[in-house]
Amino acid sequence: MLEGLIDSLGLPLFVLIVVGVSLLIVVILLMSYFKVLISITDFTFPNAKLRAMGNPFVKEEVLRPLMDSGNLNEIYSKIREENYALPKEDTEDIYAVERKLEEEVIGSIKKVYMSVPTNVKPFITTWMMKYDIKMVKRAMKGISSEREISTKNLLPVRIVDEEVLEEMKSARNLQELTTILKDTELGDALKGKEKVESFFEMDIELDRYLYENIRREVNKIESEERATVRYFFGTYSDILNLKIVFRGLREGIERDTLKRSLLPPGRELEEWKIENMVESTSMDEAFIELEGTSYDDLRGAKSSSSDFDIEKNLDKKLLRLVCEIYSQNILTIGPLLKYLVAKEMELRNLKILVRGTKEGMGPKKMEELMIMEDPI
Amino acid sequence: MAERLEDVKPTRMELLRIRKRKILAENGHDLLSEKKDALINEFFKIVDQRKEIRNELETVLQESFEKLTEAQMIVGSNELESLADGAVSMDELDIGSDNIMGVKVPEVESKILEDKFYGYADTSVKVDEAVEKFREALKLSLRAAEIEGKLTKLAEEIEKAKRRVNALEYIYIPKLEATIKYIERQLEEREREDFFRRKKIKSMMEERD
Repeated sequence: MLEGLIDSLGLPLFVLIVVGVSLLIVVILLMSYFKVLISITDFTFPNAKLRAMGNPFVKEEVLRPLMDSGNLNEIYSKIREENYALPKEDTEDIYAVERKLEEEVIGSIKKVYMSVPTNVKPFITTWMMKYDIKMVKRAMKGISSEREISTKNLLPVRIVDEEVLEEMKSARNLQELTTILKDTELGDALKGKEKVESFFEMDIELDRYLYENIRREVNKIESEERATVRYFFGTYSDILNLKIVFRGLREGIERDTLKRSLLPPGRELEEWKIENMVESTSMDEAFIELEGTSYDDLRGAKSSSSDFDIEKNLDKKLLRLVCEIYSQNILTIGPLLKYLVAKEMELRNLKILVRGTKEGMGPKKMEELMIMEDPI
Repeated sequence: MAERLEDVKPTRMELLRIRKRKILAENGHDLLSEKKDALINEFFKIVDQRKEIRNELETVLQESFEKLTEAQMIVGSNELESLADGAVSMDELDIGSDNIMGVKVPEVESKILEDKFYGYADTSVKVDEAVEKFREALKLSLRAAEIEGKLTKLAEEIEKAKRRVNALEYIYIPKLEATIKYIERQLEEREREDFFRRKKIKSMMEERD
């Protein structure tokens, strides 16, 4: 049959072999483009959704009029316009509003999870663990201070879902609480936490567990996106570690304790570099270690900056980073990474806006604390 | 005219005894007056300290609440409340005593635990600043409480000293003076009677002779 086909073409066999091999080479060469095309196709729907949801509350043009308004009802109605389901009545209870805002952010990440491609789903799942761990920390601290675990400041996330939360409410001590969480994904992280000597140490261990997990998931991503997510998470870890080092040095906590507080090293600031910073005798000495990294500009700003300015500068760097990743990977994972980070900043800005307006802080003070996107 | 001491026998011995008591009371009065003046001096010094510390406390508390609001704005009120749940309670206060001019005044000693009770990763430097400010405010509050305690004790002691000085000045010493006068009068009277009696006896004896 094959011979018949070859005869019918009327071409010599070697020509056909050459054509066949050439076609194979072309297909192999195009494979990488196919991967990109597949990736773009996978992200088309989630990216459309993310763009529709957007992060309006990191934009100066949205925040500025709200800061100037000084009116809580006006702020609430604007927040509602952007699809945040705030309590219906114009409540003065800031706790309830903040709770609702947190609920909305967690809900929006859950929505994102539903639509992202399967290969990045585990990353989002671990990212959401941040909120689960936050709830566990709140519950553990609440129960230790002999306060009832209530739904007042606990929200269902993924591991700590409605059902687990309901069970947690019946816990009377840390032992009961850890038993409830034993069979969840956080079981390992909570081993030995039946009795907590220091919440600082507990927070350190839980944070390390979280960021080790995220790093593991980032390395497991099997697609074109892995490099981008690794770049993002590497910088994210660098920024977190820098914030920890500066705060630790500022407070003068013991060097060993500070070393234990560090999260897994990131992209530019390797373990030895961060440890050198920790060993520094002064902030100036620590800043010297940043020479040659993309955080070098902090050295120039530090003399005129307050401690908060350094922290804000780092947060702005993070937002700038995801905006860059967004524009460089606009058809693939860029919008997702930007959404995740900007959502956190948005939550922070909204809390500043609501509490600041309630306390009568001026727009200048609020702006000082907010993290906003650079104007395009 | 002040009252005199009751049940006093108008004798020379008693007069000497009461004169001694009067000298003792006058010395006591002088000493108590000096003590009262010194206590008042000390009291006003501490009043100045209180004024200073109150102003400082007011400033620090104002700054603390500003920092607290900023921390609430950044991490959220729910989160901050939860962080505070993890705070280590202050040890029991150790209240000792100091001695000012023989007056025991309280001295408050307390170890304010500086241990960190929350992690760095999901909090902000504004939380650290708020915690630091409140710890400073707590230290100042304890110092203010110590000073208030000192003032109360000193005020009580001044009041007591004042009452004693007044009692000595307006009651006891006048009573002793009145008693001395009474005894002296009685003794004079007795002397006059004796003199008269002697004279009468003398005249009777002269008449008989």
